[in-house]
Amino acid sequence: MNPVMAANLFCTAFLVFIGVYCMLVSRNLLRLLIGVEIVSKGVLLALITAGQAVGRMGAAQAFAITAVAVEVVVVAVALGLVVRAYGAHGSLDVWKLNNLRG
Amino acid sequence: MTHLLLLIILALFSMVAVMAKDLLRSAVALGVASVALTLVFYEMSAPWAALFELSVCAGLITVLFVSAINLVRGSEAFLLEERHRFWALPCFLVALGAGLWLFGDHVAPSLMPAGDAADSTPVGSMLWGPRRFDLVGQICMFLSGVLAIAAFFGPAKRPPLEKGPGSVSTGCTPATFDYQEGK
Repeated sequence: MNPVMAANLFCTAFLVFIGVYCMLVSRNLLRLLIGVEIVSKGVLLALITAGQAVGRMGAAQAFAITAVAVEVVVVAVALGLVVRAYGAHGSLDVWKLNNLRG
Repeated sequence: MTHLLLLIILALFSMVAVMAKDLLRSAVALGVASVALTLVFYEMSAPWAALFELSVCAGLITVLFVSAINLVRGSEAFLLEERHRFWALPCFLVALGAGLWLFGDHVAPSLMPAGDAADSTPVGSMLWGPRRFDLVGQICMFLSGVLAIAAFFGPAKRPPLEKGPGSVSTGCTPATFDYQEGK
């Protein structure tokens, strides 16, 4: 395998692991979103690497642009939810969001 | 060599974004990681993806994060998390790196896509041609995002007016009622 692609896949695995670890460990809602962002960076890197591997950079970039557009909407809506949750609860701790607990 | 350096910067600043105690530093580290990813894309001859990554991820999302952090900057916004869990991240990463180093050669070839034939269609023709439906999806996503934000931060509902002892329930809105009284 091309060493550049191997390095890219290595970095993709690192980024996805870092993001998932952040989402698993953190209790802060904003830090959870940072984890989502890091995972999406890994996915973008994998997309472009795959496009380069098969020689279809046009399609890969089109997919990457779509992924970036989806990502920004998800982050904007999630940040709006976080700010509203902070206004309602006065805290960003996910363990305190237990209003629906039976 | 430059490519490898950029990938190391990307992974390093992503780790800083997770491990930093201050959320503002996390947001800035995320922006720096986005800039590093932009340079990686540019080096891999993907300039359009690099452009979107730089303008949207490094610019817009960092601004969104910083504004949200400033909006929630309160006493409990920076809650005390269990820091030792974050400090364990480098150990896990070293284990992951060792595992990939040992077994990556067996796994990676099966992950790589088998290309039919190279296609050098430029990204503009691809986006406005075969992938045109993606643009419809993007527009729908943007519209739904705008609607969601408008629902979160739109004008608050007016509380119901208290009725006086002599008032009659007419079913009219208060403005109409006043107008009829004045008449």
